[in-house]
This record gives sequence, C-alpha cells and structure tokens, in this order.
Amino acid sequence: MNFNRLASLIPLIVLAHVSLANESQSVSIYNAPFTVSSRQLTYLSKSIISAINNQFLSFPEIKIYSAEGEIENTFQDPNQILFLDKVQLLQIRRRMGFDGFVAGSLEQDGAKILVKLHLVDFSSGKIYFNGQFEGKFGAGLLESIEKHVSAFANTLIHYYDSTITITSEPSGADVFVNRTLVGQTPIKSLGVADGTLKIRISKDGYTSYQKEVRVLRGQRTYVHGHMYDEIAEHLLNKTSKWKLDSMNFSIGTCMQVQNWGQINVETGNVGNFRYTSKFNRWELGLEVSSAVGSSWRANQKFETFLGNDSSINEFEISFSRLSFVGQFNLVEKLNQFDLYLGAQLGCASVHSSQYNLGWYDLGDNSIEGRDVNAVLGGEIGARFYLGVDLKLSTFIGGNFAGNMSYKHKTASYWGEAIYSSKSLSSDHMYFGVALTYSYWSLRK
Amino acid sequence: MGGFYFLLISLFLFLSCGDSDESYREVETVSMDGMLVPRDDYTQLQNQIFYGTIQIDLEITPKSNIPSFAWRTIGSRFMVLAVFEDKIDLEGKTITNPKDVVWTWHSGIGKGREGNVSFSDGVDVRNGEIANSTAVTSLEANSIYYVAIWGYDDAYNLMYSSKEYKYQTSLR
Repeated sequence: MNFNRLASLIPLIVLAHVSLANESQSVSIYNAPFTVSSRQLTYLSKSIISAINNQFLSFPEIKIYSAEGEIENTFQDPNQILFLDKVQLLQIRRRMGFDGFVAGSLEQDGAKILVKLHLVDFSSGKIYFNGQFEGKFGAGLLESIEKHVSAFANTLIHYYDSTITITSEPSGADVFVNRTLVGQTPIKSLGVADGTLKIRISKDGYTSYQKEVRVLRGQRTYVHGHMYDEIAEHLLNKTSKWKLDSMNFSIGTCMQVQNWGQINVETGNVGNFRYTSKFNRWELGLEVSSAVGSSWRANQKFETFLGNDSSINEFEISFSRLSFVGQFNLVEKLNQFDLYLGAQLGCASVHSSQYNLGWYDLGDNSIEGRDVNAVLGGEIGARFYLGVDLKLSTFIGGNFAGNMSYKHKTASYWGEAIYSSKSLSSDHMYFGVALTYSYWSLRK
Repeated sequence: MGGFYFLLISLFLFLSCGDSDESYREVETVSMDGMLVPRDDYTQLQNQIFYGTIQIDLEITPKSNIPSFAWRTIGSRFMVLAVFEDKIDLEGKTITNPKDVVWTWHSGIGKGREGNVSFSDGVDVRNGEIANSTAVTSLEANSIYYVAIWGYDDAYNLMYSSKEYKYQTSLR
C-alpha cells in the first residue's frame, strides 16, 4: 500500500496518538488547523476543534499532538483511510504507533453548516465514526460533536488498559509476576504494565509453571498454567518400567475373623507394618503382623461336678506373622485412587497360653500351645491419596494359616484338671485400614 | 573303775545289737517327690495330699460310723471330701485309687455346706463312681478309714487340700 498518496489530500487532521515506545499509558491527541471550504468558516472550525480538544483533554491520559513530518505525510487523505480494511488499519498502528485518528472538514451550504467527522480506531482496526453534522452553528451542533468525540476517547483509553488473567490447574496456586507474589489463582483482570512479564505459578507438590508473557498496551492477556504434580511428572517421564517409583511404609490395623467359636475367642485387632517398593503398577515387599500387644482372650467352658459349663478355662492367644507381599494395581489413577489385588506368602507363629492359673505356679509349661505355620493369602484393597505422600488404604483378605493348638481343660474329680492338646484352624478373613507414607525416588 | 568300763562296753554292745529297721518294717513306697514314705498302719502322712496347695485342717467326729466333718471355710465353689477304705495313693496331683472310696461329698450335691458336712450329706461311692442311691451306707464299725478333703478355685485349679487322716470308727 502506498501511503504517500494520502499526503496530498488531507485537509484536516487530528491525530490521537498513543506512544507505544513510552511506558506511560497516555493517549495523545494531535491537533491541526481545521480545513474549511471558505475563509469565513475558519473561526467556526477553530471553535469546533477547540470543542473536540476540550473533550480529549478532559481525560488526563490523553495528549494532543499536531501533525508534523512523517505523521502529516502518512495521513494526507482521510477519505483514503476510510476505505482501508482492518488489516491495513492495524498495520498503520504497528508502523506509526498511532491508535486513533480524527479527521473532519467544514463546509457551508447557505445558512447551514456541514461538518464531516471521521473517527478511526487503529487499535481495533475499524472506523469508529464516519458521519456528518448539519445545521446552524451553535451549542446544539457542538454538543452533538462533543458527544461522539467523548465516546471515542473513552474507547481509546480503556482499550489501552493492559490486564492479565491467570488461572491454573489445580487452582489455589501462588502467582508471582516478576518475582512479586500477586495472589493465588484464579486471578482475573490483573492490571499490569505492558512489556515482558515473568509469570510463575507454583503450588506445593506440583511442578512450577513458568512463562514469559509479552503484554502489549491495551491487551487482555490470558495465562493458564497446567501444573503436573511431581509424582505424575516423574511417572510420565520415566524411561524404564522397572525403575523404582516409590518406597512405601504402611502402618495399619485390622480385624481377623476365624472359626474359633468353640473357645469363645474375643478377637482383638492386629497391628501390621508393611513395606513395599513400587515398580510401575507392581508393589513388592514385606509385611509384619502381630497381635502380641493386644492379645486375644479366649475361654473354654467345661463341665465339673457342678454341672455343664460350670467352670472356664481362660487363655490368651497371640500371633506374629512375616510375609512377602505382592500387589498389582488394577486401577491406578495418579494421586487419586488405586485399586489393587495382592498376595501373601510367609509364615506365622501362633501361641496360646493359660490365663487364669491361680496364684501358684504349676511349674509346667505344657499348658501352652505353639505352632509355626505357612501362610498363603490374598487381598483386595483400595488406596486413597491424601496428597502426594500420604495414602489411606482399606483392604479385605483371607489367609490359609494352618492350625492353632491350645490346651483343652477337663475337670477331674480325683485331683487336678487335665489338659489335653486340641487344635483349631487358623484360616481367617481380615479387613482393616492402613496409613501409608510414600517416599518417591525422584526426591533426591 | 574296771567295773565301770565293763558296764559302758556292755551297754554299747547292747545298743548296737538292736534292729534298726524295726519301726519301718512295713512296705516302703516312693512318693512323687522321690522320698521314702513309710506306709504302715500306724503312720499318718503329715503333709497335704496334693503338694503345693494350701492346707486345710479337717476335724472329724471321733469314733463314729457316721462321722461329721468340719473345716475352716475357705469360700471355694469346688470342694470334695472323701472317705477311703485304704490309704490314698497319688500320682502327681491325681488320686489313683478312687475305687477305695466308699463315701464322698462335694459342693454340687446340695446338702451340707462348705465347712460343715454331716455324713448324711454325702453319697456312697462304688467302684470309683458316685452311687445314685439316696440312702447313705454307714461306715463299718471297728474299721480304719482314711479321710481327705481338697478344693479348687473358680477356674478349677487345685488349690486346697488336707493331709490324709486315718480314722477309726466305733467299736460296735
């Protein structure tokens, strides 16, 4: 496009000039003599220009410049400008740095005055107003012109407000603009100075999002930071499937249910400690379970010369178990939820001992039962993530665990009671909860 | 002086010629503790029948065919009193000759009370089994019986016992 052709045509130019080079957010108005069709209209044109300038100057952000040099040559013919398309208008802004253009002419038609007014918005690339006012010169005519100019000035001023909207996934992350904390996401329409902004969005447990954003005057910039958490980042970028993901330390408690009704066992809780190493969807490790600290009490009622169940043989049962455990995550939603299937293979020691021997020591340890059995079991459970490091697990399972022997007491009329060995199956079901701390290998 | 020495030597020889086993001429048995326990008719055991238990002192109506028994009440739910027609034999803490029992009483019979039992409160025992008959057979006159009592705590642990009492019934 040849802009030099416009230079010979422009009769009147008022330029609204915004200096992009200047950091300040001011809008400048260039004021040139009003071109009139006759000298008699010169004074009227000065009055109209004065009215226009007064509207612009009522905004402190606006500065008025007169046409000079390159500016004058570029906008010689306002009529040509009116025929430019949006792209061409935007190019003018990029080339010259002007955001608004005000042009007009003044003619006389008998007793009437004809004022043509052209308001061009280069920033948005459109003709804001292209019309004329006709009538006797007076307050009514000036008021109509001032109304359009004022609206145009408002449009230019607000168009050049630079704002930035920052959101993130997840939300609630700290936002730093040029290393200054400005709040937490989501941040809507934050007023910022134009230029290059260093945006950093960070949240504990997640990888920080950093980006340099070029903000132009008047632009509304939107920044969305999608932050992966550290664990997800690690897993997604992992090169080997069998590289250690995490080390998991669990402590929990569970209830066991077994068919020990004939000795009226009061089942207590079983404490367990479990360590597993996570490889991809597999977790392999060891488990130690124990019911030593909170041994289960049992009682076997037996017949005496006072009748059936007239006396009780009370004893305690305790056990400890060491197993290899393997788990496979059937469902694995990173840092949300795991559904796993597990297996156990190990050994268990079950011990029963008499509880109410009276005040004296029989000096005979034959009233204790002790068994060491192989244990084979299965388990299904779910882990709920309580953040990056902590998980809450619930599980239910069953074990084939051999037999538990105990000393069955029988009353003797002619002396002390008789203890005889009996055994009960230790196979059991269990269910419980555990809290797991995960140490992720990426944290070095 | 020489007569005095002769007298001393004679006295020494006289004493040395006596039968040292005269008071233990009956059969000896080995107790569970490995000690030799004399078991003649005139010997009465001085310890409880069950070792390691609390002693109960039993009082028996003397020389009666239907004696009554009394002891200091100890509050046990399980007490057993028995009359044997022969000495009580033990293996550990179990009586091995219940067939020698002719009469017994225990807490579950419902007669008498712990600490004070009449002969009629008990029951006959035949071949180690408590007889179902309601009538109680008196002890034979002019006979020797052996009596003992023992008891348990609530968990049926053997905790109390008396010594073995040798009892002489009436002459007629």
